[in-house]
Amino acid sequence: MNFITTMQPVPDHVPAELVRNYPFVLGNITSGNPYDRMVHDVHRFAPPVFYAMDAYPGGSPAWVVRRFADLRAIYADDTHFTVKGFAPFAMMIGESWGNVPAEADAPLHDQYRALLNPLFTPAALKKLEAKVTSVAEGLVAKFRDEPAIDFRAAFAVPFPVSIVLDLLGLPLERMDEFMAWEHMLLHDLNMEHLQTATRNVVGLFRDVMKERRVHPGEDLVSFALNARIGDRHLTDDEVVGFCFNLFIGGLDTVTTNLCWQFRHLGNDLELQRTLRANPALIPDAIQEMLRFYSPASTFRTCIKQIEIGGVTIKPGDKVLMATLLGSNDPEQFDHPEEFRIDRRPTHLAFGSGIHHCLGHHLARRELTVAMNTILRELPEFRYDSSVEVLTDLGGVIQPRAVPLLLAAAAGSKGASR
Amino acid sequence: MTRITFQLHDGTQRTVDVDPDTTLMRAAVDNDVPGINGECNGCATCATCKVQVAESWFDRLPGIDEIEESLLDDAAPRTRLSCQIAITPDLDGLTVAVPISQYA
Ligand code: HEM
Ligand code: HEM
Ligand code: FES
Repeated sequence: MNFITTMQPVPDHVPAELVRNYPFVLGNITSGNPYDRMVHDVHRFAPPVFYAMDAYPGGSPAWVVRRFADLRAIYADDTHFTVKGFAPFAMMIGESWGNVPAEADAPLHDQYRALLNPLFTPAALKKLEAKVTSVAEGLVAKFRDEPAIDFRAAFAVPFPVSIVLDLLGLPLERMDEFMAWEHMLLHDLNMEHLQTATRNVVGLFRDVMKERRVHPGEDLVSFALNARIGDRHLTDDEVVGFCFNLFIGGLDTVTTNLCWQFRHLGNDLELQRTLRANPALIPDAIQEMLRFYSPASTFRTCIKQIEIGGVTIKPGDKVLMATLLGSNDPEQFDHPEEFRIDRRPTHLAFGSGIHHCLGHHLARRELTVAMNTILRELPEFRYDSSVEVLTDLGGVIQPRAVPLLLAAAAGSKGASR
Repeated sequence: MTRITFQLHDGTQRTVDVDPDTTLMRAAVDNDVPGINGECNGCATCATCKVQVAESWFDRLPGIDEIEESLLDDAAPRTRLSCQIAITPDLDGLTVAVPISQYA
């Protein structure tokens, strides 16, 4: 870890008994499945609001709020909390763009959302369905005859990258480059690598913008360049921010959910059979899996003193917004540790409030197409638990591999198509 | 109390009596009306609280602002975000249909 870590004293307004360990901190890893026990243990043993000395990336403290109801209230509260400064990517390379719209507060934020929402409605995304399906089929075709695969590398990483490249109007040949930068941005703790990757990605967007000004297309970059807020065009910084947001918001999160979903299916053959027999249940299964495996954690900064669960939070304090905790809160969900296909939960996987995930319909469509396609194209597969797999904790909880044993090569099961 | 009827996609109905000072989305969620998720908790960002309003009622509802409009692009006719509809006494008798899915 190359972040400079300075142990800070516990501030006066934080009662000593509320200082606790929080295991899901950036830089920590586990060899187990953190959704089996770790996440439920936080609910079992920690108070509703506690203070972890290293919860903020770089090793500084943050409050951890574990209840669904409290988290929902904070997501909706822009009087006491701001999202500003939670993504220091721009600052890191001395530029001024924020991530549009994640880092903007109301009312500018409302204007961004009004502009972008129509691009991400279910109806708008239906038009992508055929393309998304053919990307999925193409990836499956590459490994369908293998005896065993790492599903993460073979499908979960390239699938959302192809879709975002397509949305931005970038050629698929740049895939490897894109994946390398994404990896550096989200999974590399080396500050220099982070800066280089940020510069490369931003440089790419600036080049593409220059090109699209001259040759506009159907892509989102051209859309953003043309778009107006009130009587003005978006500034270059705003367009860069928007692209960057799409890049970090739309890749790793989908990859991660795919990883957990197919690991789950590889371990729960009964569920796999149920879904093959009745694909109409796939959306319900995905909704419950999104709850069960909510991967993302972000931050808020307090700007006005507030009390939550009897605890005083002061201006300047960071608050961790861990969707995995909210989605597994036993006060909100009956036996959250049980996977129930008929639960149809309203969970926190996509956050809540004014920053609720802009891409949630796109993400759901990608996940549904992936599950539909793979269950249709591949015979029964199993998770290979003889392989040790490490899982990175932090902003996104992601296993480093998803070893699956495919039945195809053994030939025993017979093709189901 | 304002009486609201939700028509569910399985053909059944749920009628609830609602206090003022709430929204149609809250009324549905608080009464466990299935099919209305309300992920963003009423902030007009998630569009998981859509309902289709009976024809006779549509023009009597408060207007649609820019944000709501942006989320309803291409939605079925007479669709509203239920979180943007404040419950008032003059909505007594309102009937809305809940879609089969908030995600399709
Ligand atoms: C859409 C959901 C998002 C997910 C799941 C996500 C994912 C991640 C990941 C993977 C990391 C690095 C942690 C690790 O390596 O495990 C991270 C860090 C971070 N992301 Fe996100 N990102 C998301 C959206 C955003 C957005 C929209 C922003 C800002 C606009 C943002 C800001 C940050 C910040 C502030 C960090 C910490 C960087 C640092 O201080 O080093 N994230 N995020
Ligand atoms: C399953 C996959 C995904 C998960 C779990 C996820 C999760 C989240 C979460 C938790 C937030 C709220 C962050 C906060 O309030 O601090 C968020 C925001 C956001 N996500 Fe996603 N996301 C996913 C996929 C996507 C995709 C595919 C896109 C691409 C369009 C996307 C774009 C965004 C954007 C732009 C925001 C910021 C919205 C705003 O600030 O108004 N996400 N996402
Ligand atoms: S509850 Fe999210 S838009 Fe209505």
